Amino acid sequence: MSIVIEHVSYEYGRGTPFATKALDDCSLEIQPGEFVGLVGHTGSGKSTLVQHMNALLRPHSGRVIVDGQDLAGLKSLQAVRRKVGLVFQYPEHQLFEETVEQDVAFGPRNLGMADRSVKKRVRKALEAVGLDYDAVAHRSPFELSGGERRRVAIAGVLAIEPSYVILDEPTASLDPRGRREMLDYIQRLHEDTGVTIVLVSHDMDEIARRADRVVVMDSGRIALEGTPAEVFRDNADRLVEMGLDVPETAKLLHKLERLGFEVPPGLPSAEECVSYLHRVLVSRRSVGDFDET
Amino acid sequence: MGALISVENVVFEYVGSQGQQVRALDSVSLEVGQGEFVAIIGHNGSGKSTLAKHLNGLLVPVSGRVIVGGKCTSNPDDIWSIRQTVGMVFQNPDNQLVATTVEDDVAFGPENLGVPPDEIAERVRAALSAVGLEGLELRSPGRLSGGQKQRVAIAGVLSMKPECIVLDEPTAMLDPIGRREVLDTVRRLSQQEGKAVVLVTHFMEEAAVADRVVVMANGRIEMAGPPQEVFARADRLRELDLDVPVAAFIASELRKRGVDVPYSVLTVDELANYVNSKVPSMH
Repeated sequence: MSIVIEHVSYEYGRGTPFATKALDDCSLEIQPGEFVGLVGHTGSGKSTLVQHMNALLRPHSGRVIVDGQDLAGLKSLQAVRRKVGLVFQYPEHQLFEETVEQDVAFGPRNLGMADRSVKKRVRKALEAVGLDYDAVAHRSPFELSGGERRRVAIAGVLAIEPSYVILDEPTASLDPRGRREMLDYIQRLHEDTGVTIVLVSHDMDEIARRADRVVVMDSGRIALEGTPAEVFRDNADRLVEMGLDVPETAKLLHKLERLGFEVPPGLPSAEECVSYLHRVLVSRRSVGDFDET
Repeated sequence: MGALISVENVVFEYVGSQGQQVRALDSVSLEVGQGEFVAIIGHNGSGKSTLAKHLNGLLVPVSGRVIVGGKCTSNPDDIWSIRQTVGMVFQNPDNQLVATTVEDDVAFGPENLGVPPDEIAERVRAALSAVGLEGLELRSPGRLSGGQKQRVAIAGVLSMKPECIVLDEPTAMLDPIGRREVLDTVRRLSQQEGKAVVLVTHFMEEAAVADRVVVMANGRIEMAGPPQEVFARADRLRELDLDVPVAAFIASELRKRGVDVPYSVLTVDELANYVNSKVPSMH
């Protein structure tokens, strides 16, 4: 059970003079229960790749296999859309119903569920994104704040109870508190239900802190893949070449290393950096680990 | 530096979605000097965008007043001259470009002001060069990157020859490359073009390069001062649900443990250089 992308290529405007290659021989496997961070700058192919995961786009070559099913062979896409929930960029632009309840219920209702279980799911989905059912269910989504509207839109996908939730830049243009809260909800959902998360983001500090695995895209290809420490520490120079940010703590250790300091391996939190630097500054010598001994 | 903009005890209220009165600005006073670079930070609902929209009369105070170059924004006769003095750039790059070529877009403002064609051409040239977009004059704005679009929007404001540019979260919808392009442009406006800049932002690294940082919370100015003073109060910023640059956070934690890290340390480079100056490395 997994999402397998095998040698997938995709071109926009195929067959026209404006054809541009968006994906170029991408292979990737998403394991159940993983929290994968997908990064890359605008135009690197991230959004095109995730749209292949629930058959919104069909590969021009290669295959996409979800839980053992090759999507190319499917007559109906309902099953895959149920398994793989995709939250687009600025999903709040897609709200359309008169009340929050109706909007979130749209998905499960379309799956033919009975009213009672729909209602239960709506409540659960709203709670997963930190919204109080009783307070918002009967209000118009358009009366809510921008951040709340976005959470309603995400609840609409969660209400389908997919086993894979893919979020394309869910924190874009939120303020720092909004960003932190949103990612906390996503992380809690992941921990509580074991749902697989694919998070597309530009925020390297957050990806470093939360993802099990980081996938980096560049010019339509999978350029790097590994744990946050492998990607952000061992390949910091390559990320910078690709025009990507590196988490601040990785940048700090990288800089110290270039200044000739012996620095610890791995990707530390800001707090771990404090302990490390404290020891270096107090002992006035370079030390190679974080442990306070 | 004389005050170019002076915000005096401004109160602004509006009617919320539940019919309740919302006080978005509560006795706010602020001066922006000629050529000064001011960053305004604060989380959503803190009043920072509402304050920005007062600086060129897009909103006018319920009480108090805003004076721009000696003129009051509450006086409808002065509003056009105020908007020429203080230009605005908004968050969404797709909502503020109007023409089919970059050149026409940048010329839109001065054309409306009745500037003679020769001078328009010169202004467009100068504005595009100030934002680093020479050579893209005939491109369609719709096909540019987000960072380029925002720089076209900035050039469009520059061609009006304002003394101050107010940017309301200009990088919120951009990727890291676009953010860097726009921030570099904003710094150049301040340092080389001598424009006063007011930058509303959620990104603390952007605020860290300003001359002065103003922190808003609940419609009031919570603190204001040079970045090193404001970011030194890491604990208070965190209470306000704001981020602190990671290096400033580490510096502030080290100070709590008795290490005398200077308040001027705000970036990881500065922090690494400080450590290097204190501890002989392996070299």
